[in-house]
Parts: sequence; structure tokens; C-alpha cells
Amino acid sequence: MIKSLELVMGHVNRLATICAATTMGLATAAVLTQIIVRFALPQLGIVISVPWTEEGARFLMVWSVFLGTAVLCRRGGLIAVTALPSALPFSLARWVIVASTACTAVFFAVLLIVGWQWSMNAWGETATVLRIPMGVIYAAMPIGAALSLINLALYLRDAFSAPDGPSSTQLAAE
Amino acid sequence: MPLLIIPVLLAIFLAIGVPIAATLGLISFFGLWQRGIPLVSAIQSMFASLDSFSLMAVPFYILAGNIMQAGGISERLVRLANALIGWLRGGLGAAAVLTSMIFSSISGSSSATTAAVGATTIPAMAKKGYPKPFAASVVAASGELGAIIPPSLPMIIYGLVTNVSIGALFLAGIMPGLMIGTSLIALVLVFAAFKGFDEIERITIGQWATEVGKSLLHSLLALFMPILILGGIYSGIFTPTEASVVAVAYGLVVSLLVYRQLSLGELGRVFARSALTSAGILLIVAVAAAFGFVLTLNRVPHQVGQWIMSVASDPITFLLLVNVLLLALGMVLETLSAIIILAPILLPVAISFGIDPVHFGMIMICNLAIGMLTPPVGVNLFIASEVAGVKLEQMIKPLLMFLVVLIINLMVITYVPGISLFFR
Repeated sequence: MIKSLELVMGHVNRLATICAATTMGLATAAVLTQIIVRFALPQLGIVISVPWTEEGARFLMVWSVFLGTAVLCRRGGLIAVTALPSALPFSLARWVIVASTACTAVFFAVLLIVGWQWSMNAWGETATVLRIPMGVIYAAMPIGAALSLINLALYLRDAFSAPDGPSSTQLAAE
Repeated sequence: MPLLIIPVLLAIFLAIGVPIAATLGLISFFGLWQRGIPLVSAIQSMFASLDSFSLMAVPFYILAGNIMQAGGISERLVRLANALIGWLRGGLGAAAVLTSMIFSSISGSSSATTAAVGATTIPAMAKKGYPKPFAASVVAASGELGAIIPPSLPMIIYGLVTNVSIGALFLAGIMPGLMIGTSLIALVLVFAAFKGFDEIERITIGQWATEVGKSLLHSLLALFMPILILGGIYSGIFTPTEASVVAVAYGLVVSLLVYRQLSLGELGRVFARSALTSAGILLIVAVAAAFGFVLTLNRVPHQVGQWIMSVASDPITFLLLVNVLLLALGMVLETLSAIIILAPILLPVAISFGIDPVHFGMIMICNLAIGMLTPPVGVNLFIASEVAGVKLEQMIKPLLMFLVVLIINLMVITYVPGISLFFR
């Protein structure tokens, strides 16, 4: 059961990484389009406007952030102060890791529940320029949080099964 | 909520290794829940701060830096710096500092600068007889210039959380960056002369000029980058975000089409790595907005301000207090997180003491940059020791020398506002 979950999440995380990288690439392309339209085309006598670029770039980046966050959770990659857990002997450190992972899980659970309600309420709202439901953008948070929670569980499991703690699996993941 | 709960919870969560974003989030949720405010307001503030065009400069500069690191630009800069001053006694170490200075003007992060410059210069220094811990310290210390010489991620974040012009902050970083870089070069040269390694290389002016000319031609495209970015911002053509995208596009063209050192497969990995790094930072920025809201609700900035005013009555004592506090916090907190949490609290007090917001930003950034090379949490230190293959403990002694020089620089920058405000 856990083995198959691990396998599935391996694929999901790879997909999420690709999506995070792609949305970032598209956001770059959108801002670049804006610059070209504003500075290069007028020189050639072409004056058009692309109002969707800025809004599009912002929305893409929101998705990139929450997908990226989920992937980071798989290997304990969120920015944290890890001086104390890594200074403790592993037998003790693993309990500190359990406590901190539990706190992190509570955080993502709130993002999942409240973020879900928030995005469901926003299906009626449409974005100013792109005219898509705002719920599509807000959904990045609950979806990212749900993936984060599963990844946190797998990370915690690794912390217990690995011979010398999660750091060894972390290296293997990279 | 009693005022003390916030710092106590903050300290406990951070100490047991709860990620900074989750720590700030949990405290915010708790603070809202206690006042009966729906938690959805925290979610709203998170989206409001993420959904910002100015903030997007952060991921784009991370991307640009990674592209240039993968595209072979740093090796070219090392060659140029080495041609310029490598012949001096201790010249190779000085060239490593100079490379960091140039690389800093195209990269916004101090850890990226350390990684890019260290990979080529540390092995070269070791080969020339430099003690490895010293070589690693040179790179770790000069890497902090990545945060000080524009463009700079900490400056973008400081500008966003305090509403100070990012362009003005970029300008303010130039003189402090040059001063710190020069003093580090001086330190390396003096130390090499004192310890007697890296002998002087006798070359004729002709030889020097030929090699400088060749390597200059070789790295010309890389050197044009800062002119494009900073020139674009100051002439008012680009916003900082647009400039960051121009940097990405320029880096792509140079590494893919001109230098051809970046394959498409590697490019995919560069995008993935940049997206994950950015996600980690931007999540903190998002949650910090909710945290800031809760702090304001509880009038924390106001109370901290009053407490500071009761301890320090003049700007000189205040700045000393701030510097000691930031040096201590910088040892455990990562630079951007420290700015996000502390800048909105400290800046209003600084302004009431008549300190310029841009100057205060430079003080915070130069101070917290030092935290990047102090244990237990010093990313530059980790990178440099890994590249050099030396233990952290071995680096402490040579590092102390660099820390003293950097702290003297910090004091000068703190008490001589004219250095930061030179280009006003």
C-alpha cells in the first residue's frame, strides 16, 4: 500500500516539477512578450497591446509556487532552521522531526481546508483581463497543500526507515 | 494575545525545525482564531502578496543566475579577473574576490555567487598552494557581495515589504559593494604576503595586456549584462521585473546560441531547480503577509518601537542595537526570511530616528549578508566547505579574519550614510 503510494507520488512529483518549471517558463515568456510589444514593435511601426501578459504571468507564478512547495515537502526541502535536529543524535532527532513535521502538516491542512472553501467561493468571480474564473487560480493552494500533506507523510516515513535519518534519502532524491 | 506569545512560539517552532513558512502561518492562524477573525483573511493576504508583478523579479533573477552559472559565464569571468590581477602575490585569491564582484552584478543571490565562483576558483587556489580552508573562506566571504552589489534579491524583498524604491536600493548597493570587495582583496594580498604563498609572477606589460585583452573579448557578452540590467532600470526603460526577464532572455541567448555551453536537457533542469528554489522563498513571502497583518492587529511593531525607544535614545545607540540584534539573528535566520519578518518592524523606528529608509535597508542587508557565513546556518559556508572538501570546523580560524573585516565594513556603512547614498 505505502509502496504503491510512494510509486504514484514519485510520478506525481515529477509531473508537478515539470508543471512548476513550465509555468515559470510561460510566465517568463509572457513578460518577455510584453517587453517586445512595448519596446520593439513600436520601432517597427506596429502598435498593439497585450494586456493579458501581466495578469497571466502573475497567475502562472501562483501555480508554480504551490506546485513547487508540494515537491519540496517530499524531501524536507522547505527553508527551515535545522541546526538543532541535525546536532542531536538520530534517536532523539527523529522525534524532533516528527514534532516539526506534525506542525507543518497542520499548516498545510489549514491551507487545504480554508483554501478549498475560498477557491470554491470564487468560481463566480472572473479575472479582470483573462476572464477566467478566479477559482482556477485560487485552486493552486488547496491542490498544492493536498500534495504537500501526502509528501510530508512519505518524508516522515523515510525519516524512520532510513538507517541514518532523512538526510540520506534526501541525497538519494537529488 | 499577549505580546510575549508571538516571540516565544516563533522561537520554539523555528528551533525544532518547523519550516519558516509554516511557523509564520501557524502563528498567524492562531492570532486570527484568538480574535475570532475568519482564517480566510490569512488566505486572502497570502494571495494578495503572491499576486504581485514586482515580486516576480525574485524568481526571474534566480532563473537568470542559474542560467548563467550553467552556461559557462563564471569560468570566463574567472579568466578575466585572473588576467587582470592574478600575477600579484596572492593574486589568485584576489582574482576570486574580483570574480565574485563581477558575478554579483549579474546575480542577485549570495549563495548562487558562492557556488558559481567557488566551483572554479577553490580548486585552482588549492593547486597553487593556498591552504584549503583559507581558499574556501575567501569564496564564502566574497560570495556575500551577491546580496550587496545590484541586482540583489534581499533588496527586492526589502523594497517590497517596506515600499522603498527597489531602483534606489540597487543604486545604494554599488559603493558598499565596491568598498567590501576592495577590502577583501586587500586582506587576501596582505595575508598571502605575510604567509608567503602564491608567489608573484613576473610578466611583461605586453603579456599582461594580451591576456587581459583576450579574456576581455572572451567575456564581453557577460560583462554587457549588468549594463543592460542596471542601465535599463535607471534610464526608466524597464521596471526591475522587466529587467529581470531581459536578464533571463539575454542569459539564454548567450549560453544557448553564443557560448553553446548549455544543452536543452540541462536547461530543463535549470528551470526546474529555479522553480523549486523560488517556490521555497515565495511561500515565505506569501505567509509573511498574513503574519504582518496579525502583528499589526496586535500592535507589535508599535510596542517593539516603544521598547527600543526606551533603551536607545539616539540614532547611534539605536543602530548599534540593531546591528547586534541582526548579527545574532542572522546566525540562525536565512537573510530573506529575516528581512521579511524584521524590516516592517524596525524601519518605522529607524525613520523616527531620522535614518534614511534606503540607508537602513543597506545596513540590514550588509549585516544579514554576514549571517550567510556564520554557523550554524550559513549557506555560503556550507557551499564553500563542500566544494573545497574541508570540514566546517577547519574553516573557522581563517573565516574569523574575514568576519572582522566584514564587520568593520558594516560599521563604516552604518555610520557613514554617504556611502550608501552616494548616487543620490
